[in-house]
Amino acid sequence: MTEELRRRVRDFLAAHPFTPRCDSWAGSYDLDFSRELGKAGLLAVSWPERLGGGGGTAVDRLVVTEELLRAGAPLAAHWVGERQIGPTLLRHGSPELQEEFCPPLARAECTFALGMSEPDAGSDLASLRTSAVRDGDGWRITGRKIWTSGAHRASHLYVLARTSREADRHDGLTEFVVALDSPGITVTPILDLRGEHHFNEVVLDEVAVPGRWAIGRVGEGWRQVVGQLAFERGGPERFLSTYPLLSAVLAAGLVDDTARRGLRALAARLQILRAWVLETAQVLDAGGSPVVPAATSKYLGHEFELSVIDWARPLMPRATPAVRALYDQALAASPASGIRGGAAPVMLSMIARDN
Amino acid sequence: MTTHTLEADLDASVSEVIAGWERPGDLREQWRIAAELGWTTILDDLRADAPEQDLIDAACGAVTALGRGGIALPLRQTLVARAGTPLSTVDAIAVHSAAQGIWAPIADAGAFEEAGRDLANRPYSLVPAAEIPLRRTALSEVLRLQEMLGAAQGAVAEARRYVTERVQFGKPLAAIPAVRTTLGQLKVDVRQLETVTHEVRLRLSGDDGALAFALATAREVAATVVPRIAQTAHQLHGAMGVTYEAALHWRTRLLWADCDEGARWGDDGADAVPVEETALWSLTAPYSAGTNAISR
Ligand SMILES: Cc1cc2nc3c(=O)[nH]c(=O)nc-3n(C[C@H](O)[C@H](O)[C@H](O)COP(=O)(O)OP(=O)(O)OC[C@H]3O[C@@H](n4cnc5c(N)ncnc54)[C@H](O)[C@@H]3O)c2cc1C
Repeated sequence: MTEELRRRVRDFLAAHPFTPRCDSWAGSYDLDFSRELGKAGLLAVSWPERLGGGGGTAVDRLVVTEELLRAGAPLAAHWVGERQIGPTLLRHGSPELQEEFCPPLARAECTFALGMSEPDAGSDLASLRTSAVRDGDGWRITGRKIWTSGAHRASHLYVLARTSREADRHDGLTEFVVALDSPGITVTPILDLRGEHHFNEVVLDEVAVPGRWAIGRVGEGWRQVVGQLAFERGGPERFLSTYPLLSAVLAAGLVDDTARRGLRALAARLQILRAWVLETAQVLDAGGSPVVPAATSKYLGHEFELSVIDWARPLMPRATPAVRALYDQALAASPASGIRGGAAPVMLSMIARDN
Repeated sequence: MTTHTLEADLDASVSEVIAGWERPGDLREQWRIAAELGWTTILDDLRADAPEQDLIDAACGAVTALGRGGIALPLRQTLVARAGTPLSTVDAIAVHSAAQGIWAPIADAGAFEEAGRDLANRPYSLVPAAEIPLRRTALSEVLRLQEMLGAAQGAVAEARRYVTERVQFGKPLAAIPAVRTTLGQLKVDVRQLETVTHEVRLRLSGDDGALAFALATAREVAATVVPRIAQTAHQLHGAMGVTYEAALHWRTRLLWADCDEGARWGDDGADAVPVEETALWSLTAPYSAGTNAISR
């Protein structure tokens, strides 16, 4: 199965030309490419067939994403929806919600952005203030989300909001699906280090949301989102963002004696990280929530991505513009890799607490 | 007792036996017990061409448990020397040039000259290693890695225990974010060591290229993380950790001694890391034990 899948991905990539990019899962957006992947059965491979998936496992999905990231393919359009919204709905959503969203997600017809962070709630996500109040059968959501990647292009927004005030602030949170074309939503661009429009501020002003779009149990959002973080952090994109640079440097024959020594260290970390994400996928397949293993691979993955850049730097004066472009992409994206999805020191703190 | 009656996972039973042992203790007496319990002969029947994974697992389990307990016995050296070539006595201390550690001078089998004592107080010699087949080197190295892994796990457990029990500034040290960050890094390092060690162990029954690659990367990781694990564990453990009474003390000495022993291999085998992406990608894939192949 694994071999067959890898081959299918490679065949697909050969038949759908693209310019490889570093950080392609976050920064390289091509909706047509994502839809072609969907048609080829390479999205949602781990979801049940009746919901538009491939009926495979998380390990199968890992194989597919590894090969796509390795090549630097444009994946940003479907990434959030396929990586974590679909799986969250499969774990916590009602059958109705699953049927409404999973099949279009698997075809990249519907795309998601993640509305977790807020101006005053970053590392301390549980302090978020966006609130959802009952309105007839549905809800009205009001608040400000920030750093919302891709919200200017997505069809839907995942929102974590407070539905009641409880003694423990981890209680009373609820997860919602929100249509981004709903009245009351304003999306404002925020430019990144390369001056590119990647993330946004999203203001929600009494946005109407149907009752059936609350995910899982009302007030149980924190417990659900903690599980979701294993999907968000535990994948190969947390160490393969700069891999297209590594690959291009090797192909260009730029490796000298010093770089060869460095390559051994990189190969060692790559081997470790690939073993870790495989373990995480296996735990997911067994129904577990490998939150700490996911934090661990995310942490070391960030270090690995930075080491690739440091390793490539002295070789760049001899590089062609195409290789140099990959280096520039990697470098510009590098500060984000230790922050997005949870800051590196916070990961370490979680790892330390785990017994 | 034959190896076949040994538990597949010797780690637990060895840990139980050594729980009450003193450090450094009486080497000859500890060695007598080890021999009596069958630890020294685990690999006697190992086949060189197709090493049995359960025997290797048993050997790794025993060596790891000793390392975790901070017990410096010449078990791994003897296991390598005896592997597939049993000696007539079960209690001989033996060495092989792939794992001459450090026990060479006091070995009953193999005569070497003592050049000094390492940090774990183990006698060493300076006999240059002859050409050694890859598989024998790998077996020896996997046991050295396991011993370091055990000692590292023991060191982390001690550091962790200390920072959760020790109260300063009115609360346990572990409540201080900087302390937690340091402890988190320590655990990531140990996990790295664990993963590369496991990978070499699995690939002992794989093809030469895959094995040589895992060996080269494991040595690199060990050389980087082991000294850092020792330093960090001590940083967390405060002055108490350096004392003769501290359990950490014995793990650290083993960690340093084993790491220094690894330095003698220098860059040997580093060319097993390909400078070509397709090969690199395939060699970094986790080895799947069931299929005896790397999943490419
Ligand atoms: C490129 C990018 C894309 C993103 N996309 C999204 C998205 O789509 N949706 C979304 O909801 N969010 C997104 N985020 C936001 C991201 O989740 C937050 O940036 C992250 O959780 C950190 O929050 P903060 O930036 O407010 O940092 P703060 O919480 O203000 O922390 C600043 C720094 O302080 C340190 N720190 C904080 N707390 C601790 C602690 N407990 N212990 C030790 N050190 C600590 C860390 O170094 C941290 O980086 C994105 C971020 C980036 C960079």
